Amino acid sequence: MSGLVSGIKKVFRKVGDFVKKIGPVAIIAGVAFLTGGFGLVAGAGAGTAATGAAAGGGGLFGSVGSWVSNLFGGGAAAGATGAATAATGATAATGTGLGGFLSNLGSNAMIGSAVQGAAQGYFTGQAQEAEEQSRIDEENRLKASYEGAGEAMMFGSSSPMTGKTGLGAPARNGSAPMARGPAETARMASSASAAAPAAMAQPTAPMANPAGRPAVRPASEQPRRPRVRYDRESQAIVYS
Amino acid sequence: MAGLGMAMQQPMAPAAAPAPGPAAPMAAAPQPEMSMGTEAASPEEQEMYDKFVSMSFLALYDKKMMPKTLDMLRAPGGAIEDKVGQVVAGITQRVYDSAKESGVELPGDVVMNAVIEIVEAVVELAEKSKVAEFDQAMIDKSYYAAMDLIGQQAAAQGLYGDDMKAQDAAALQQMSQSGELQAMTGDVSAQTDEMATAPPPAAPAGM
Repeated sequence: MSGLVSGIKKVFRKVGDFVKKIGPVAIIAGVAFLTGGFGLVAGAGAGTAATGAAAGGGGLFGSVGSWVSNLFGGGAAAGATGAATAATGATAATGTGLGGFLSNLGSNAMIGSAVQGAAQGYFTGQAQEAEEQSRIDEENRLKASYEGAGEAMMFGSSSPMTGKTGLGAPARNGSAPMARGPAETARMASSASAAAPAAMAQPTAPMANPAGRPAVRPASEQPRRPRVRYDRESQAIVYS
Repeated sequence: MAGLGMAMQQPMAPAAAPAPGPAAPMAAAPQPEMSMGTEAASPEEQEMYDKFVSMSFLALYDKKMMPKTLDMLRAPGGAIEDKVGQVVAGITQRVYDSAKESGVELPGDVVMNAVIEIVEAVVELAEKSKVAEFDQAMIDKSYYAAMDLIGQQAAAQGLYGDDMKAQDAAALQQMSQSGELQAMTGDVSAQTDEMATAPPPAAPAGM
């Protein structure tokens, strides 16, 4: 699974239309964090969150040191606290899966202290063994529950509900699926509607397009992810 | 709806932005807009992305699956961001494995962008279910948690080793030094400067 960084450059059209979104700097930070290059990008390389903020041109995150601290949940205080040493970060991380990351960070001498501190503020909160065990348990439970959904999720496999190959993607709102003809679009929508909850099954046949290009449906007829709401009386999730 | 590059051009969603109601009219999705330093995903990549996200949605919104997911999000103890991360990582792993079993090797950049959207979906589900309200910092942290777990899974499977990390880190550094990252974030720096001077958000429960 190479090429995470190239993903920062790539522009994908989204399938959903969510109101709340992950912040752009956070996306870069997350990837930088994952690759172990956070400090290299942070560039501030010195001192506390305040120093990092003052550094300005030190790097993308150097100018926003205290904000990055907030981003990781530690706040400015954690940023300052975590300004300590790389070894601190490595120590704090011991024994937790999440913290493995921090160990890597801690071993990177170039990491800006503000960033390290911010990260520490976040990750040390996860260092409890009990929480780790809970996470593993939940993961196992989730994994087990996925077994039932198995076939319907298979890439390119025959769907037990449609007998068709692959579920494909519902066309996104108002946009034409790329490199798909109307028949393909209809098949995929049909497949998706069979597999998804009733509320998800809103697709209709695409409008005819004499040019043979992918059909564009009226927005009101677009297949899309289901809307769900919380019913206070029944205290349950209701599809709508 | 645009992908990562588009998101980079958009102001961050306000923490208290109301979600559209079920009957909210659906606006036509804009085509992806390019900013400096970004490039459109190829049709093949977009196709993989579509499949990945759609299958993840099928899993997330599955009638049998959703109650279990909500149970997981509602489980006592721990930060909600980590629970979102666990849900997303679980879904991602499952769909990734499924693709691999079918002979489809998903590139990391496709997975990474898909994770962004899946996190947003789980956050919305959690909010609609009254499990938690997310401010911007919580959403971002949910993404970190998801990426962290997925990274661990990938590393454990030998899919994202130290050599790859080193390559990516070097590429990232080059992008930073050349100003490419800054260009991609557009005027985000100004926003973040404002945020830097604003009071920090309240610490979420469990932190």
